[in-house]
Amino acid sequence: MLDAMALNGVKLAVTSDEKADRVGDLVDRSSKGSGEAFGQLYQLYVDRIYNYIYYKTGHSVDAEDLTEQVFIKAWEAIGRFRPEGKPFAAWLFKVARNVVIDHYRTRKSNTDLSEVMAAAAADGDPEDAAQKQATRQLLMSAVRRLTDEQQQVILLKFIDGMDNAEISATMGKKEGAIRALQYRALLALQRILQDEQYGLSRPSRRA
Amino acid sequence: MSLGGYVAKPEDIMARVLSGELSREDAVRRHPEMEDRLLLITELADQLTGLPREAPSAEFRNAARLRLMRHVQATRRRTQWQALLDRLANLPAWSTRLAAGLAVGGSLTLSLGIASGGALPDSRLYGVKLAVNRLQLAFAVGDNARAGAYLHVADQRANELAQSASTVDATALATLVARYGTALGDLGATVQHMQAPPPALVARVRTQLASQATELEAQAIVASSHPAVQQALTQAEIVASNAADDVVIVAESHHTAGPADIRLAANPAAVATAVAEMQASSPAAPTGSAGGDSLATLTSLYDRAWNEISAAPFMGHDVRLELEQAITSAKQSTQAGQVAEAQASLRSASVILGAAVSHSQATQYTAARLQAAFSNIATALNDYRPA
Repeated sequence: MLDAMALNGVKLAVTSDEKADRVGDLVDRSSKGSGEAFGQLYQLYVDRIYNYIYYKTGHSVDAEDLTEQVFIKAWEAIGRFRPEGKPFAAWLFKVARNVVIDHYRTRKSNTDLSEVMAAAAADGDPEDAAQKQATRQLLMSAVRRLTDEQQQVILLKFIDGMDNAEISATMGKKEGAIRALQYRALLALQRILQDEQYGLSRPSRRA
Repeated sequence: MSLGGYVAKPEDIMARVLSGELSREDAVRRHPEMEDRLLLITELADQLTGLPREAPSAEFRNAARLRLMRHVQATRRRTQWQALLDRLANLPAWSTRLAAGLAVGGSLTLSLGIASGGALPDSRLYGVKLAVNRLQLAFAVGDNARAGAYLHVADQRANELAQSASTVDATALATLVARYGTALGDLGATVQHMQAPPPALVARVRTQLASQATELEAQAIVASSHPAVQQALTQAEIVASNAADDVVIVAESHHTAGPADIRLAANPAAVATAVAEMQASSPAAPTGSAGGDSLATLTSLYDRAWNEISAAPFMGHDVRLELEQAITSAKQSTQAGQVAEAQASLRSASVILGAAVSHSQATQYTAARLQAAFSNIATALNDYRPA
């Protein structure tokens, strides 16, 4: 089965096994103290971690700061990482989640969505950009009102693009529980959007 | 909906729709009672999936990587090395006295230095060699000369390790590894201590460390049937790679050339080892057979080449990506029965590799291994007849 691996924005077609072997080798060498190998892991995962944290915080400066912290903490802890059949990404996203939680514990974020909106407005056709901006604003403010677990499953599934097995490993729950959590999170999100009358169109019933 | 007593859970139906296993239309047809929820939620899922991916700026990515590498450098675990180094802090007194005596003898020092230069640890001249090293370090005045002397010592220790690893006992092997670690540690400390290391020195250090790491890695691969030896050589290779990282960081902090500009030394011995190893361990090429077996062999050869590329040390990032893409493309063409296209992709990979070596973006060792791998694939492709 072919999978897509992003390296600095370049999409490569590689098999899942090849990707896992390569990451496994880099993790192994990093845990033995190779800075060069850890540098490669950084290149492989920095975009995904940044994207995840950006959507978690809604602020690019916070996302940069926290992304850097994630990799520093990962380096300090990688000697204790034991794969036990779980992908490295699952462990790294756990580190990222903890870093974001610590961030909110120590500093109440007063981030608003202005940056998200501005970013959306900056690209492409103005009318299209305005639509995208509105959609993103609505969705992200609604996502932030979900419980932490619901947010986590939505971000990993739809923003990072993980499959349920990877989410299961990341969140330490069985796949059945992930499916249920995902379903409840989507229902809750839909309910929030409707309650707030955000105006997402309700699909018409077919005749 | 109940099917033979089984009641499908909404979350399972939704998961099947989201994974593409079940179309929305089929899901609604099978579970009409869920139509509203299914359509609302899948539309919402589409909107979430359609949100743009955010990526950090290139400036942030590079600056953060540099800061991370500095942190790595500062916190790298050296405990196991330190324990070994402590035991080797002092050379035997007799060897130092002998070398000092030889120094008084003037030109005799030089000739004995040369005579002992190639001595291995099991040689009677080895103690003299170490003592000469100590004198060379003692007479090196200034950081630049001292760094050069440490680099020379590190080269000697790496060669001893590469040549003797498979013939000495475990204690002697640990000692060799520790001596190499000491030399690299001293070299790194000297370079980092310099306020502004000369670019020529930085380039020389990087080049030689890259060459040492490559040679040690080559020996580690050959020693696959001796796990302890392989482990020791791999440890040494990692320490050399880390030392090379350190020097790159020093270079970057002084705004000299970055890692992409590392000039890699020619290393004929490593090249010979690489080719021999690659040829010895490759699966036999299919001979004129059609269908599954030969395709399986080709697939294995492609996978092996891809792994070689992805794991190759000291290769420029863009070169690695281009090579991986070329091999993936050749593999896909082969699997689709398009042999001519696969051969074109292979030729393209070979050209990329040649250019990488001439622009110092890949080591000769790596290039030799990969060219051997490409050659094996090309031979197999010539005989391959798609089913």
